[in-house]
Amino acid sequence: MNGHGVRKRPSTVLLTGALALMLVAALVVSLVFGSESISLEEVLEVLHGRFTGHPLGSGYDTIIWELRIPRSLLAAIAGAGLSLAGAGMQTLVRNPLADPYLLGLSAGASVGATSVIVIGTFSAFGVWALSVGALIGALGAAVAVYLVAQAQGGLTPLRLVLSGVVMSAAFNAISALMVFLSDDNRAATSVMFWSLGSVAGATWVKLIFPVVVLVVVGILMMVFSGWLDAMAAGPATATALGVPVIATRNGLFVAMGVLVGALVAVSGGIGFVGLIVPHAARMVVGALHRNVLPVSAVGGALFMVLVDIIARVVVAPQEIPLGVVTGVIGAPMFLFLMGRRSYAFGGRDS
Amino acid sequence: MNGHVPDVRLRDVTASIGSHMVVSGVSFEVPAGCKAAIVGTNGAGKSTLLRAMAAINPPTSGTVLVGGEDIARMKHRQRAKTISFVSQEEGPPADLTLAEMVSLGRLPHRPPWAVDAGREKDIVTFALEVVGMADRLDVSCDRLSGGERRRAMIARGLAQRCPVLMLDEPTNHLDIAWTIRVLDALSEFDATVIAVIHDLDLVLRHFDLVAVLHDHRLLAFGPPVEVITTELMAGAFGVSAVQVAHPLTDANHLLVSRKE
Repeated sequence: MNGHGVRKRPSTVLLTGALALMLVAALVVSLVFGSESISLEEVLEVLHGRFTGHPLGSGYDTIIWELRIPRSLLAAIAGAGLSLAGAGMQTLVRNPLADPYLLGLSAGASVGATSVIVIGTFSAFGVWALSVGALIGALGAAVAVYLVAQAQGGLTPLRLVLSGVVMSAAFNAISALMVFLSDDNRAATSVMFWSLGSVAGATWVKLIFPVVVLVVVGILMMVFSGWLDAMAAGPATATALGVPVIATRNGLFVAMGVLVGALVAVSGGIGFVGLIVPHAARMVVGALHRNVLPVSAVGGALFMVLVDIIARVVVAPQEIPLGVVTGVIGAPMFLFLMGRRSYAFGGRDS
Repeated sequence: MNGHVPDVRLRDVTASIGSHMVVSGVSFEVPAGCKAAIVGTNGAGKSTLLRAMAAINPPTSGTVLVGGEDIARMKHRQRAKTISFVSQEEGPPADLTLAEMVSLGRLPHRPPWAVDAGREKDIVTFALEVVGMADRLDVSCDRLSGGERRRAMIARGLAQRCPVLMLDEPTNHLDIAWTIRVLDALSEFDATVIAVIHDLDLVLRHFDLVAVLHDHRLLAFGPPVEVITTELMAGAFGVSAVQVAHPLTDANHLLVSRKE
């Protein structure tokens, strides 16, 4: 029995550093891809100009600086944020199937986005209408799930999962009804494309809110990583270890709601990444949050940047929704990892 | 351990699950350093009472005093440095190594972002030595058997280094050799120990005091040899039982059979 099941794990710091280097490389390479063909040398010239304070001011300069960099950065932010949210949600409800959208957040955001696309609500916000609609929808859903779970006796994992599932179904029905009643034939396509996720509409300004939320939530999760470990062990154990369980649950819930809301608002409902990246990270570095969180965040960012490259390249000049690519690539990659490593998915596989 | 070892006093404690009252009016005192067992039939409220005593689910009324201090008024972390509670239901989370899981016991002693609290590795290794698993620090918890998981959870409780230990069925799933080894280790600890135990025969020899719960109340409390009488066993458990002295050691053992 001795030696059996012993884990050889890489250092979290080294792994995170290596992933971060790969992320920077992937970000630079990603700038090559797009409808206008720009070579890697030209990309590097533009970057050199910008970072030395002498922007070239050429057409390429504008395309790269105003369009492609925000887009790739948004992909990285969405990947990092959704992976952190997935890890947080799996701990909050102590369920390996949890993903960032578990609490009805994407379904709620979808109601907001659909109402913008179909009915034209929030038109006062101009180009921001879709983001505002999605953010309000996501936060509204979070509040609704919170109130339902709280009214029934508190944010216990089971209640959160059940109210999240039920509220998601209700919100999806509302979105579907709006599309169904709409006269606009393109509405269904727009809504579907939105709900599968895209970072095509990124601008520097749109990055600000998600970045701030991501950094704040990421730091908070790292600061309280010990408490999250105890929460994963169960509420009685966490209480016995001196963790204020109810306050931690509420705090985690709010953090997840704001983080996912901010991401969904600017990138739609990119699926799968938030479910698989935390699991992949646990397989490699184990389940302690101080290991899982940094590896998930940087690994998720790298994954999304690569996914966005593929989404742009495969059927260029058309773009595939990101949710399609994450599913197509993520599923086999995940099955491969699962087969290689003995991994219990937070439970016992017997 | 943590300076001086406190006593534990219950004053008219009522413990509930949700709105359902499980045990009420329980008062007893466990002097500092004593080892006390809580026994009773299935559903008598042993675990619920222990969870109330450890403030996992605080008592609905009455007070639990540890070293004279009301646990309901202690701060979360202060309580976790005073009372180490090991639950019956919650096993080790999978995907942690044994060392990582047992280190969770150090959480009350360090801020939640800190990696290590000084002598953490020594404390963790020592705790695992007590349960005979110190050679398997890097083994993944999901590879452990039921009994090994129980021992690992006990080690987590020991790593907390508290002057009061509250254990819910610590010997569940353990084979007889490990049962005796764990109970022997507990009786030597410089701590006040309160444990829910099913095997009354073991209670006779390994505990200083026993609390018998029956019909939602405390039926009896005192030294096991005096409390676990033939009459009590017939009344509370509906079995015929008699204490006999071991022919070699002279220690008391309990012979139990179905009631005639």
